[in-house]
Amino acid sequence: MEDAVLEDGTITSKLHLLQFYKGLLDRWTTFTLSQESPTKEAATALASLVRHANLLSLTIAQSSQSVTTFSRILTYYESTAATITYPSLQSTVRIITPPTELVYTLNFTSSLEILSRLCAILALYKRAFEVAMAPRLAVDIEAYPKDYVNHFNGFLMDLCNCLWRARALNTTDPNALGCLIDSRVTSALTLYVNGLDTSLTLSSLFGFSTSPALCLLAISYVRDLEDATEDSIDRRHAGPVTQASLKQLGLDGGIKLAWQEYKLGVLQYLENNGVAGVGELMYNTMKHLMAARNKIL
Amino acid sequence: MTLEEIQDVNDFVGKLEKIEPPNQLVAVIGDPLLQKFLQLRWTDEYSKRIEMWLMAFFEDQLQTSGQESSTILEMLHAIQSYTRYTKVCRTKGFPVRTALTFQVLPNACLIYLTSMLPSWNGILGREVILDLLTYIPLGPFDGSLYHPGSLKEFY
Repeated sequence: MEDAVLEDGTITSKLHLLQFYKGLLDRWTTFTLSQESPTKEAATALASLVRHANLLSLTIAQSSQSVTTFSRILTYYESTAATITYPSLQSTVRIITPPTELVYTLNFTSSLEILSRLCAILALYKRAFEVAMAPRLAVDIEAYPKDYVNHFNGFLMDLCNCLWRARALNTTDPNALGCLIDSRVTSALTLYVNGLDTSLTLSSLFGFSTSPALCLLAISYVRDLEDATEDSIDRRHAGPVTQASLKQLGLDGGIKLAWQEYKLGVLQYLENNGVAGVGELMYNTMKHLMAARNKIL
Repeated sequence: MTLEEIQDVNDFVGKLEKIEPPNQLVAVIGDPLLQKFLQLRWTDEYSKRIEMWLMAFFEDQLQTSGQESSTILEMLHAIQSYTRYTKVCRTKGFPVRTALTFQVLPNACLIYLTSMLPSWNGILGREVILDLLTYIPLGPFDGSLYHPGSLKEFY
């Protein structure tokens, strides 16, 4: 059946097949939920299905990088994330993480929606791992190998390094994979960026202020703050916002905004504009942010 | 009282218990009113009648060479919309109202799809066929999704 659908070799056919696997996963999940308790057979079947469709997703992402394609892939992962989120299935159904290359390919999208959905999905995986590895639950399910979990944590570390910590592409942080970018590429890019402008560094370029997906909303947030002061400020930020420029702006009679406040503010602003995924991931991976957020609200 | 005599929703609700299903259940399997009727007054007998009829229909189709693909596709579409209205509850020990239900494809259709798949070109009626295939009962998955003879075991 699969061969027949894929015979013409087009992306459309691959997407049809992926949509079918998503449908099948949804139905099998519903069926498993309807049973008194999920069986080992069900768990095995679900795991093989997800492993198989993972490969298809990766193939699709490597053959077409359009927003539509990415969106269809994420629709499938929203189903896998749902499957591992049901409390009654969590003791049996194994968490199969998305392929590494796929996560990073999606991470470098310039589409806000894709980035937000990717983050939201990873946040669900993160929470599922937390539940699955809590001591009281580890009964039916074989313990997750440490490397497996650490590899997944690497995704989280790398995404936070890109978006939040201005440490993009480094491989020295715990579990960090540097988004799988070859070190030679990283050094070439570093050289290039350093030659452009002394105030910019490669490792900070993927943050809110300069990420193609997020920069518009990030600067809109600052503009809104400035507008709200009703001309009581002497100077507006020229953008893009950096830690140093914010400090300078405060001294020069512009709005006074601390770097950390700015970043939390952008997260909140994104959320208010219907882009909740990025915040979900940040709050779930950096627990101190949750406390900081609650303080602001 | 037959379904044809029903005027509107109120009429349908008021007379639900008195309605007699048509003799040719399958002839109107795609009819939304009949689907709602079957959903509300489901019995094993109706389900058996539908299975028998579909079995005969598909056997007929498989035996006729130079078959009319449009007839088959029409029937598959009708089964698709019918299946969406089936709600099977096989949970034991739960109050029925809180039990989760799932949808089940008529066995006859599943058997037909199984025998048709190896020679399917992957193009004809792709959308409806792939959608119907999502109703394959949960079972071992090896990626080919075609296990000769094994599909029936799950029923």
